[in-house]
Amino acid sequence: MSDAALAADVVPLIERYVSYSEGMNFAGKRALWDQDDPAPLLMPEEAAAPLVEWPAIEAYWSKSRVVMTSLRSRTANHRCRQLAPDIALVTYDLRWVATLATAPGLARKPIAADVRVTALLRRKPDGWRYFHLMEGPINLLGMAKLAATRGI
Amino acid sequence: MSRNEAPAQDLLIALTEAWRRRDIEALTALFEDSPETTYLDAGEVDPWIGPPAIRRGLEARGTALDFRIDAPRPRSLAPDVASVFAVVEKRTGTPPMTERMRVTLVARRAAQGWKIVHYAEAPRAPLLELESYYEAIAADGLEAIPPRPWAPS
Repeated sequence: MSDAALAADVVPLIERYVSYSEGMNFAGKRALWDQDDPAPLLMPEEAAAPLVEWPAIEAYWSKSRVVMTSLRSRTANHRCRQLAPDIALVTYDLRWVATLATAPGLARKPIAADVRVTALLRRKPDGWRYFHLMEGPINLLGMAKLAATRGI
Repeated sequence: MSRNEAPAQDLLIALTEAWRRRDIEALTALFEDSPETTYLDAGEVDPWIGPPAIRRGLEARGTALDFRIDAPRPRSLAPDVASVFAVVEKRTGTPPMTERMRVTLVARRAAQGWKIVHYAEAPRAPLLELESYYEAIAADGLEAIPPRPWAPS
């Protein structure tokens, strides 16, 4: 499969995956992971340690519903490589926009950031499925430079 | 674990060792010679894509004084494809600065042996890093204002 053909398969899946951020539909997200993988790994940018296996990932998603009142995501700049007949490496930029939960009566403005995602997917009978997803924000020094270029 | 069971982990170790020596030739030789090979540096928005860009990026980096690899998770993904996820602590610069980040390295076996096809550094969210810095100052206590050599005693 060419990288272009792979992208035609995988990018709609990724877009579907991030669309589930809206409404925090984590069951929908989970369905797009390889259910047979014994050690799926999710590395959210804010987590202190990698989340490995479903109990850790589910607990993180449950907590997300508490700390945020809204979450939306979009992706762009996808690069897809098929490394083996059933293994794909996909990188893309992800922008998330979230409103953090706060005390009643205190409004908070949404915050957002772009992260570089490294994803590994496995081809299953029902399509490509995630088994490794790492969010990579730019580091603090890089972020400070970006802020300065925006006059912040 | 034998070397054959963890080729991606071996490459991560080799990468850190080459960094310590600042051996650009050894560093670049670890990557697959393909225009699709990618390197995501912790401090850059854009990936370095292909060997020439990776070489330029590595050459522009300062000396890494030390690396520590914690809790590596190597995986065999296919007969000729492997990955490793690890937490890497990198110490660079003068005065030394420590950067802790999560790394995913993906490798593939080619005619020349196992080579890196993708390397990505993922720091923790800067917002939380900044919060940790403020918390560390708070933990130092109210009286712990550093003495300054220019201040009269």
